[in-house]
Amino acid sequence: MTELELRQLVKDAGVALLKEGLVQGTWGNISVRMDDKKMIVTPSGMDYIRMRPEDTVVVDIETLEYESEVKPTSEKKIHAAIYRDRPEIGAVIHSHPLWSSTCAAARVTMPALTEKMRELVGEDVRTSAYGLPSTKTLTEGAVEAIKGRNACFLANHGIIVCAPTMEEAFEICREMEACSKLYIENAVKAVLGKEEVTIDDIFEVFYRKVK
Amino acid sequence: MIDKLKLQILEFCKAMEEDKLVELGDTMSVRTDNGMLITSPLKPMAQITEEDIIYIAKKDAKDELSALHLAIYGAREDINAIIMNHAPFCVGIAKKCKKMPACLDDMAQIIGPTAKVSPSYKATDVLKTMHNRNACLIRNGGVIATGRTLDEAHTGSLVLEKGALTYVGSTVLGNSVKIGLFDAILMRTIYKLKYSKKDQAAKQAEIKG
Repeated sequence: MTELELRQLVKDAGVALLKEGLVQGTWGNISVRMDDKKMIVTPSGMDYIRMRPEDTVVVDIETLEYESEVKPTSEKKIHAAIYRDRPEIGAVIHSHPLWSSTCAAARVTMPALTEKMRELVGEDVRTSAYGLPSTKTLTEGAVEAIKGRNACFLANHGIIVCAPTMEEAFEICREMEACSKLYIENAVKAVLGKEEVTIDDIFEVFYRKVK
Repeated sequence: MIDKLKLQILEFCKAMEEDKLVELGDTMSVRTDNGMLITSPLKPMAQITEEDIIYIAKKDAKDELSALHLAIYGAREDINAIIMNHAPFCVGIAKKCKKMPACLDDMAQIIGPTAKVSPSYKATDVLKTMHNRNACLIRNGGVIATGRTLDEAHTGSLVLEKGALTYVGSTVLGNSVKIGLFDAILMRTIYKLKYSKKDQAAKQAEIKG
């Protein structure tokens, strides 16, 4: 793909993240590998609808240097670290889906609940060590948690997924969200002994626990 | 400018309905030079048309609802848009809790370290509860989300509902870890002063045209 096509791919992925409800507003960030040395990332603090392909930023994977006047995402360090560590990875998405973010706030290690999840991600999904956005702690924690897997939870933050292609990265985001919802529903079922779970059931367990 | 604002309001009415965050009676408003534009509470947001968006001058409140919106604009210069909604997880929390802690950093940034529950829709209660924050929940009621732009108030509504789900869900999982107060205040300050300021300013400028 040409640089222009890769920039368009990042822009389209941003719009798709919003449309699928996998992120809110300007939150989250996306990147695609250009070659062994460079990646294209989303800009900082700009929503995906307004963002133009030319607003995406080419960043050096080793040095994190860039030439654009537009500032790249502040989480570029995580993206670069994954590309450096994993030559087979071509796309990285950091997003904040509802149910997956819930698991991230509970700082769980979630087992693969479906065969698809096992194939796409690995045996389980770990939560990284907590760190403030853009810090070394967050970057190192994410790289450690995603080792040997294609996704991890970022404590109290969201998720990071990586895959050879953008399409596969999206597939992982969707499966992570479906499994995270199932994981929470299973916790409700275990308490109430029900087969189906409604929002009222979730609140029944919640009210018992915060009493 | 008024026409542009009305079109923007229609766009976000549609979005709130698609997000399944509103019910009949909910409204949204935008600050104008001498008052505000506000939607009718008598129609579902999805059915609101330009005719259902009315202008109300600063000192010309028509009822308690418009008085509340005007009181918020009067007291908070940083707020240019208000969305009142009934996001389901927020409503559930507002029934029994006094506040909702931020378990995710985006809530800490956009809303604050906690979203508190106001005892009523009275302007004095709401303004006190919303002190230093962009949103609050209402005991046995809904949600008031605000922002520098409608876009930010809409994102705030989404982030608040996600924050509510996160607090409830992580509690159900048995380990709800809240963002520490120091970290939450730090992130909120950086967000207000820096992050997305340019983007929000551009959105305001577009409307003022």
